[in-house]
Amino acid sequence: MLFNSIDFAIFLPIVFILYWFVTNRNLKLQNLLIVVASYVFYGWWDWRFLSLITFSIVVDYLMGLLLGKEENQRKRKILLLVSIVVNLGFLGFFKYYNFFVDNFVAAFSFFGRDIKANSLNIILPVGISFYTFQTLSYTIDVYRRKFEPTKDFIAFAAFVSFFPNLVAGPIERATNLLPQFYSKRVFNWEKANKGFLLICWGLFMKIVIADNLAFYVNTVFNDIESFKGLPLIWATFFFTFQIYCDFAGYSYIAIGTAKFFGFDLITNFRQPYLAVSFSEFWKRWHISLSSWFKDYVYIPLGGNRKTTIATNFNILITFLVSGFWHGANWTFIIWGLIHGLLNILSRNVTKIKTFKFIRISFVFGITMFTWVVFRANSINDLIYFFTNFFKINTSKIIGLPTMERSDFLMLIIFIVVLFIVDILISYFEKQKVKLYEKTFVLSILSSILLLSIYLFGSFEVQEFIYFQF
Amino acid sequence: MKPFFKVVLTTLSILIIGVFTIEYLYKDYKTTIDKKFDAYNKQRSSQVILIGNSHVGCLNEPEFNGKTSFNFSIGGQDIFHFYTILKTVLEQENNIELVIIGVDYDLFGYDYKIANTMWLDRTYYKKTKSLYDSSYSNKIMASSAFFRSNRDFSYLFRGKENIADSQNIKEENKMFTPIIGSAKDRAIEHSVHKFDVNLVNSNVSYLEKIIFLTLSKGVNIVLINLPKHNNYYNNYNKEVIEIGKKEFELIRNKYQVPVFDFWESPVFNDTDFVDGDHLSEVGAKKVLSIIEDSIINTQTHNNVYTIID
Repeated sequence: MLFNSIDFAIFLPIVFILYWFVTNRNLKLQNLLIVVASYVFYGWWDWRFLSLITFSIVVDYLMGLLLGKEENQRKRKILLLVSIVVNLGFLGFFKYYNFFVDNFVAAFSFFGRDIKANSLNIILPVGISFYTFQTLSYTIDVYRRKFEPTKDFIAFAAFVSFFPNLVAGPIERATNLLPQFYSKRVFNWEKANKGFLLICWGLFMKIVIADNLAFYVNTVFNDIESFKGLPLIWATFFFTFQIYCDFAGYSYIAIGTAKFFGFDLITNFRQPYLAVSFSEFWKRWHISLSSWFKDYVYIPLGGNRKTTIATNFNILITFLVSGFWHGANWTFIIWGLIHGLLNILSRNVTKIKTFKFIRISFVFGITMFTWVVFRANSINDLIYFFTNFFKINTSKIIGLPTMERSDFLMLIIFIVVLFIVDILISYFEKQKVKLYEKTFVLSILSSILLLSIYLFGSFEVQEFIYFQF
Repeated sequence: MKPFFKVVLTTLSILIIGVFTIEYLYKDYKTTIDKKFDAYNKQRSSQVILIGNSHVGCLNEPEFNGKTSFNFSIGGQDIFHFYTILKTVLEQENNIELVIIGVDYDLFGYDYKIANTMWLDRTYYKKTKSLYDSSYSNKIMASSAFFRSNRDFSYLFRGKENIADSQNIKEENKMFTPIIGSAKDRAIEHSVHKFDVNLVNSNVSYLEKIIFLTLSKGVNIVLINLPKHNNYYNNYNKEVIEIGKKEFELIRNKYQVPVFDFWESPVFNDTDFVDGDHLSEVGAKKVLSIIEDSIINTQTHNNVYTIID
């Protein structure tokens, strides 16, 4: 079920009413309701996916219990390995099987030895990368004795399948989310109000900005060889905001929805395009994934505890893995590699003292071009882009026959609005202004956002980009 | 919970009031298809129906071969819409004897999603009760006057003028306004950007539905592919030409339907076009006269038209 669908607009109030007015006296019943609602939400795509998530829940629940009881370190390692193999095995099969097969075949063929291996017609279950990482963090934390394994199966199932963040994050840690399922929930109107504003803002970002930009971006990137010069640059500029609004929009809706039910999810985006360095960018962009990789890949590799060379190597490996997590395509690996290198540079090069605005613009400009690597459908498209984007025909400002100048202007206005709001959010956070406490202001703001969606939104329902990961 | 419900209810109230106000302001909005149907209903008793996209819009003579005609062509219209309009019209009208459909090669693979004409599709719903996407969310949008207008904000400043237009049949029949643009860009737009080979089968199936529909009502049907300027067809995707020719041939053989393919016709020159892909009034008259001359009404009981080679 998509957040930006009528189905969800009907589903959410029903679950909300059942949660706070029917099951509110019994915690276990509330948790069970969350599990059932999450299964309905997830099964809405394809009920067959439910078997995978159920298997993942059962395996990690059992592994958690066994890890909690087991004192023998060797056996504990084996249990952890079982959990990792099962989780990454599923992920590897559904997400990377065809990639590896195709590349093996290509590699053998390159060295003059043709081998036969058929690709499979595999449907990637929505959100598998997200809930796999969430459950993995649980078993690893239990293994590290950072966290006591839960005996409450329903609470654990609710933690893994919690519908607001199930399909595209934020990737939660058991240490943050699971304890919230143990404690009695009392309705907090301030939290719910904040959630409501976040949902409205998230929907605005997705439906008004991301989906309107998607039309231009998809037209160019899905038929890239028909374009040269400015259309390629505009498409890249627009994609920079499309992916931000698409993914941050999803995260805001997810966090807002969780607040309706009394849960606090971790912040996933913090005005990333206002970052002044590449390392800061990753502290503002997809924070839950960055911190996951930091805790479970970068630090186990040695982090920054050894030599500078070792630290740089660890950064590079972490970003490569992070790139590969995004998808089974060389473009994602290259994208990860570039960001790894940029982060190494960012750490090692002496910072030039200059205006903040110039630093933000520099980071933004470079980041924008890295999105080309992320968005390109293949390496060939990527090469085409970088050999043709500078061939500018000045007679065409827009350069795309299917776009009207008024639509183009509207997109630019939305992007300006986004920047203003990001700057305002940043300012309000510093000043500790809580808009959601002022019900009248909140109602007006929410109304403006919803009316803007009605007036300017793109209603050709588009899936969120991060669902494919 | 009170403050939370207060916020939600206030927001929803403002939203509902806003939506209803906008719907009220747009309630008299006439889309192009509304105007077409208004004009058609006033004229009634048309014996010949012409239908196509903007290319066919120029063939708007009130008579064709001595019979009253009406042109249902609208820019951006595709084969699916030809079908839904004809279905609606043929269910209402018994006097129709001939349907002339303008099918460009690229219409066989017309991708309405790339062409971003989902909104256009919604404008038909009120009249045809058909949609590409019949999901309830799309039906809700198709029932909204504001969405059917494609959020035409300028309407709020035009007001009544729009309604008056729809009452003028003559003007409606001349509603076609050619799009001036580079022939090369448009050829690429039509035959590359908006063409998806995977859609050929479904578009052909709609054309077949039209043929079944007309034949089952005893109405004759003629397919035409109008001439284009050299600058246009020299830049047109050659694969699309092959696909178009093949599909025309299959339809001609399978259903014995006359096909007038003017694609490489040598009789048209610069004065016959207003731009790369739209005929001028002179060009339109030339086409109509060729079709009229080529069709012999055999005046038999089943009223079959044949082409003179």
